[in-house]
Amino acid sequence: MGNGNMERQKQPRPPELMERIVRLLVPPASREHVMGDLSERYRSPGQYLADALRSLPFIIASQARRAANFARSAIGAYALFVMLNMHAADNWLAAALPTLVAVIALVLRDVYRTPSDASVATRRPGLLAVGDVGTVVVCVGLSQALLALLAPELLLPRQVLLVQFPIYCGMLFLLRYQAPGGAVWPPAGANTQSLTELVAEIRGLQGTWIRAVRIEIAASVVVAVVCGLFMRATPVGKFGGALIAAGALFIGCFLIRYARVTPIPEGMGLTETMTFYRQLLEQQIRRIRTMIWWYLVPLAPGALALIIGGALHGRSPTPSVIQGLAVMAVMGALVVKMNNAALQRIERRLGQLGV
Amino acid sequence: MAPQPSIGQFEQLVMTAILKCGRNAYGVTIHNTVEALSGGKTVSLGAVYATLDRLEDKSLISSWLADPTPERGGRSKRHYRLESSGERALRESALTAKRICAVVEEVWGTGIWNGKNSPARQS
Repeated sequence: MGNGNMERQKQPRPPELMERIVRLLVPPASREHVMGDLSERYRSPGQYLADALRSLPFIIASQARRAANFARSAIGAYALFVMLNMHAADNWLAAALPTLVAVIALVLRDVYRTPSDASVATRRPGLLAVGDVGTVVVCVGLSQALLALLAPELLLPRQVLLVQFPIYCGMLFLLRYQAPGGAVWPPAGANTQSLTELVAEIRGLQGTWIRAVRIEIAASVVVAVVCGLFMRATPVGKFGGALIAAGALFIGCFLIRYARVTPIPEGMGLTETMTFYRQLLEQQIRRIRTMIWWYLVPLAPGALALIIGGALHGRSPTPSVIQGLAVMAVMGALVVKMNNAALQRIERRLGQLGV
Repeated sequence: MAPQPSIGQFEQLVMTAILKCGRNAYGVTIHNTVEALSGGKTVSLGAVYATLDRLEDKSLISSWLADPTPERGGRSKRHYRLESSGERALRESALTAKRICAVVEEVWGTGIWNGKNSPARQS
């Protein structure tokens, strides 16, 4: 036994500075076991560094796939690009570069989210959302500063930075507040949870869903009011705006009526809590599976009317209609993909609960 | 029964490595076994991690963190095991591979395994 201890003490260790740098680069969700594996495989500083650098891209990509929602990132990127490109139609690169920077910043923020951040996400999602928006503002600001030195022709117009970009930041705050990024759910080892951990998980999820529903209801009211302003535009614009307002109000009413969350009763045992959780997840699955009918279909007629109406008043109607329909189809597909990803996670959790 | 998720060749290798390693299936041992199963080809450790994550997301395997050990700088190992759905998927892949081997042997002869019979078309 004494020889065993001496053997362990003789086990070569990587240089401390090198280990600290590698530790910073490995995403927190994988840090413990990856650092341990790299340490176990250590033979020389060069080998350790090569091992780490060859592994890191795969580990970061895998964590990005798990923690950052591709569809949501794509929708956010499109929204940001459209807003930044509003006054620079010919200079699309000026809008594309800060969009790329913002998307990468948000994805990396999700990748490097620590477990303590995940618990803050359920308790103080506003704080995390402010952090996300701050990260985007800093990264876009730095990119603009760099462009000012290297390629001033690619700078964004001042109006865009002072009007459109803050509007996007407001939308980003609401989106990240509604659904904080970075959390990998179901958690690993979820099928060995205690009753306390299970109740905490259920309460956390219910809190997230309640918050999301409230934001959607508020957004449906805002959309209905804003679309009411379109009623002062062209006849087709009035018609499209009215249809969208009706669709938004329908969504709001549907959520008020059917998206109620029953609080978890106190004092239930493990078996009853698991039964309650299964019913909750099955209810959520039904809502997501029918989402096309109560979320996308009500908005589609109004969006179509606005696309066609806008195109008819433009110089080249046919390409504008095709472009508008293509954007609508892609956005719809991304929303469906985003919800399918949520559906798969919920179904996996149901499987862990032993359905 | 839910439809079986499909698994690629590298995923089959990783799952076979988990099966072979048994209770000692964690990153380093799985990687070493995958390299051995690949006929000595160099395999990226990061690719093994990414595949393990993907298999876990498909619910074909599950993982847990064990106690930390001094030889790993006081860090824990993440152990992996096959779930029942993973065992079914691996069994199905093995049966498919067996059927492929049977046809290859039938057409090219058993010498193919020793590299004697060239698979090139003979005139």
